Amino acid sequence: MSILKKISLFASAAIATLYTNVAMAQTATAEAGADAAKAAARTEMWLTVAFYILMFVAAGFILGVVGRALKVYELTASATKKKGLNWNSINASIILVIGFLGLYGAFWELNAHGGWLLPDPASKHGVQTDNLLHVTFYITFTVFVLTHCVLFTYLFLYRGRKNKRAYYYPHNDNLEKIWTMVPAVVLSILVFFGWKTWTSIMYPGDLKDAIKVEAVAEQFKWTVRYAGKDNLLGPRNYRLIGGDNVLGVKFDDKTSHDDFFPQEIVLPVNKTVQFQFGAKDVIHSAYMPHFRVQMNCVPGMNTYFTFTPTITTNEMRSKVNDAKFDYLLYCNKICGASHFNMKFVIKVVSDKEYRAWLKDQTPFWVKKNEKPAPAEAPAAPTAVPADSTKADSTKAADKTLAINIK
Amino acid sequence: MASQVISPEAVHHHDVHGHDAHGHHHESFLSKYVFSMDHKMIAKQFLITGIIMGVIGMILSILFRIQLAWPDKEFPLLEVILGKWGEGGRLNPAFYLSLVTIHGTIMVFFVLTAGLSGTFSNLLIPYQVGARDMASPFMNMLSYWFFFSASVVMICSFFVETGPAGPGWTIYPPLSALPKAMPGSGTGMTMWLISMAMFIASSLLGGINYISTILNMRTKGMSMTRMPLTIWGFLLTAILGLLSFPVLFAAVILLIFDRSFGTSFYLSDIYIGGEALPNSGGSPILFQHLFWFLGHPEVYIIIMPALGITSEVISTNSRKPIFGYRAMIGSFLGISFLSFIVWGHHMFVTGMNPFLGSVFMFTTLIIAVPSAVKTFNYLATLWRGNIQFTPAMMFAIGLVSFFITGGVTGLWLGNPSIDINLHDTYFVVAHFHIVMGCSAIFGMLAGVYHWYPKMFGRMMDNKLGYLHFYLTFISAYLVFFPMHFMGLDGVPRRYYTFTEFEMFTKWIALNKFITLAAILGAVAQVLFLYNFFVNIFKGKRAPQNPWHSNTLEWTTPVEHFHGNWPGEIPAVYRWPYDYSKPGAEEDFIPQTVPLSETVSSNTPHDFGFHGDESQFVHEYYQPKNVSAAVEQNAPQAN
Ligand code: HEM
Ligand SMILES: [Cu+2]
Ligand SMILES: [Cu+2]
Repeated sequence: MSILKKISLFASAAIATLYTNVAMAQTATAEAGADAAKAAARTEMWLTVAFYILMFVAAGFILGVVGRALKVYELTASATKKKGLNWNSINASIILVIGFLGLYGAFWELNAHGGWLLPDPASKHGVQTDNLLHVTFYITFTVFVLTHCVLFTYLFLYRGRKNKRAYYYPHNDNLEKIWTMVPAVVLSILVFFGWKTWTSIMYPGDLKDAIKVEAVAEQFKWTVRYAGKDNLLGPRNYRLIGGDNVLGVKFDDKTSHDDFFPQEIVLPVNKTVQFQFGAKDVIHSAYMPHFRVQMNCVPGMNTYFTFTPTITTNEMRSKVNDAKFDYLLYCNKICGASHFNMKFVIKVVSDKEYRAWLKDQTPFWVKKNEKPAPAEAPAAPTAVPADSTKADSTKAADKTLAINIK
Repeated sequence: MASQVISPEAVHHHDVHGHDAHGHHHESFLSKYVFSMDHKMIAKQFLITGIIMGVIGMILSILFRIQLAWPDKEFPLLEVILGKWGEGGRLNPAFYLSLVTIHGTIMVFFVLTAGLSGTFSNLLIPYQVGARDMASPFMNMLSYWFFFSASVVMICSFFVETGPAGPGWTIYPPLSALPKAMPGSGTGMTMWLISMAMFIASSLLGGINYISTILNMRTKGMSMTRMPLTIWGFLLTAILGLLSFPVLFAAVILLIFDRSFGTSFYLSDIYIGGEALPNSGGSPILFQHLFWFLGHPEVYIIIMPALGITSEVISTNSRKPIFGYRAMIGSFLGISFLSFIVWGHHMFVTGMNPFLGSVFMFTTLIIAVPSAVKTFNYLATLWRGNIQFTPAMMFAIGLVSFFITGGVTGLWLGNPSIDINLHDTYFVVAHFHIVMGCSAIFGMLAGVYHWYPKMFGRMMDNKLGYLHFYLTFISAYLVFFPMHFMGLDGVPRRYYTFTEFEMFTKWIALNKFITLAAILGAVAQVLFLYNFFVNIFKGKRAPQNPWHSNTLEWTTPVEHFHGNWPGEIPAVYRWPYDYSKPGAEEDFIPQTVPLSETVSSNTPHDFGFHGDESQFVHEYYQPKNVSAAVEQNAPQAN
């Protein structure tokens, strides 16, 4: 079997095809005449392709030569009764080197990229989450390093040798008990603290004073609604969606009258906020990694996440030394073609700034009733959702479709 | 009749004509190579189809990796290859998601489930338990052809107008249920569902066969506790598949109903494309429960055959018994049982009742215990071995490494408080590619290198195998290890590009690096393909037992017979791991060697005696100077 011959055959065939391809591309352009630039780009493309194929073939060729040389060497070695290459030793050594280089690489990357991760958690529970994460990291990284050291060392120490026998050692019940119990105990500890943390995050206790904010996802944007003065979000019904009632809020319910729709989320620092999530079309996921918050947005049901921001945007900006830093809410569940582009800015501010901002916000219902001539106002609340549905829904449809086709 | 498959003789060596069984009855080309009912042939069909699907899956991944590395660059070649999906030399965002979806589906189901289990369960179960074929060869053939049709339908979905399915391999509705939601939820999605329904049929047909063959058709002396660990792996894998795939089937059928017949199993309160849909009362979360009830066992369906193969390969090539045979079986059983009660760890942040989250956290972290036992037992098997670095052994070692690296990150994700921030980020991508992708692929490749001589009667080239191993091992780590860091920075998976986020610009260079490493890894597979396909015809002829292995398959002739053994099926007298037994002449004693022939190496254990050895008397037992032997062999440590 001659690898060499095969490869050179293959190489010449490949080159021949390429030449004809390139040539054809060129004649084609000459005939067409038009759009010369495009044709030139095509030629260039094929040349690039040819280049890479050539590289590939050359690599194959070199490999073939090396393989040949090795074979010749081994043949002559066995003919002259010399020891040939000892592949057990060679492989054991290479694995040892690669293994420890790899472990070094892991440490190197911890240094290099470990500093690029999310900044300190900007929420109360985030501190707990990160503690747990750090403990888990130290435990698992130790296990990772130790087991790999053992693996690579054993492979080298016990590499196969002629006239050697392995040690017949089928089992040792005590050893096995130990390495069942130790992981079990360590994991129980992780389970215990994990459970504590999880329940403290998920059962936040009394939420009467928590600021109520709703974020509703759709392809491919967020709509945010604050509960307003009464701190109660008005109910929604997806059949009321349409026109400017983008969420289908039931405006005949009084609790919705003070709800407002800001263009960015503004939260006061150190105040608990309860997010309510929803989705109009498909599942999305509200991801606010700086606060260690994530919750899916599911059509047909509400989901919740409660947390307390602890660092204002300004403080964080100086902390990470980036004047443009902003907390973000973005989508983390595949939801369609533009899933990658669904973000919303979150600002965490002082209590004073928050109050000032609140003052500037006008509830939707109030705006709605101000805009038209005052005389028409009383009829508006109930009429709005029902009437405007038809008129505007086609527009909305166009929008969605346009995005899809892109 | 000798159904030596791609008959080396017929093609080449006219001088060798030694099969007695020639000419019992004639098989046509069709019944021999196409609609074969011989388990060995079916194994090869599964393997080669799996390899082809694997190559396709790999090419898809390179396409989307290019997009991630150079999101702003135009590649005119893309337009040449992909047409409208690569318009202007840029990958279309919807098509990006389709690529990701089909890549995941192909790799998880077609390569690592059918390609792995289908190949090695079929090849090894009859061989290693000592049977002439599967319990039902006909169902076995059907199993392959369902798989083949499923593959064809899946690939054909590339040629429909709206492109292949795009909602991710987990196909969560409503995205997958509403053709309006994305192009990939149109005809392509229908084809995905049809393909998967056929795939499930294939898996079930295969699984029933594997289980009944193992339980009913073992040769004389092959008790359950003398079965090689490969067989244990295949048995539990098949049981897992039998219990969980029907649930996916149900999920798929309900989804088909929601898509085509107006039902509302998964749909409720949806406003899309400017209209409110009439569906109400369904739950998208229901689908996730059904999906992951299969989905989690599925990941163990993938890894357990690989672990079985690795146990066999590591033991053989360390020239040592597998350490803790019974513990290995126990951990298989533990993993199998637990894998059914952990599915909720994929759903911590779906809004599921937090109490359930706690329960699933508990079961999830506990599943790491049997996994850890396996790892430690592998290391103990290597200890004081006489390690033969065959390519199969190197890939098995690779599996151990990846299983550790990927397993430990499972402990991060299994902790729901940590998972809040890591769910659906690149950290998860890193976790499952390392623990499932890499480790199971390495197990599969170990199996291919190890049993290639049995399958094709020829040897692969070792040196190409070494190079293949090194390049693949290195590039896999270079690709997936850095992804942990991106995930910890909150970089989401399934994003077409990260250019819309200032905070992700710092990862651009790393993304390029990962893509280059992935290309290196892909090119390295060419070495394998060359080695595999060329040596089917040109490889050195395989000896009877090239790795000096104990298991039954190496007692069959190199030439393939329909029926495996020309004479009677050999009986089995011992477990499969008598390697380097003190007192034995050679460093291996095949399972077929009776204890009466190995008096010098027998131990009271071999006769089921576990008491004081000096008390034991048997005509085939030669008392040894116990204290001297113990001292001589005592571990250096302690
Ligand atoms: C030590 C044991 C393991 C633990 C504790 C564990 C835990 C987890 C958890 C909690 C997740 C969900 C992460 C998320 O989506 O946020 C996950 C994802 C995954 N794991 Fe594991 N895992 C383990 C071993 C394995 C093994 C052995 C495999 C496969 C052979 C595997 C394959 C996967 C896959 C495929 C996913 C991602 C599915 C997807 O979302 O697309 N895991 N694992
Ligand atoms: Cu999304
Ligand atoms: Cu899982």
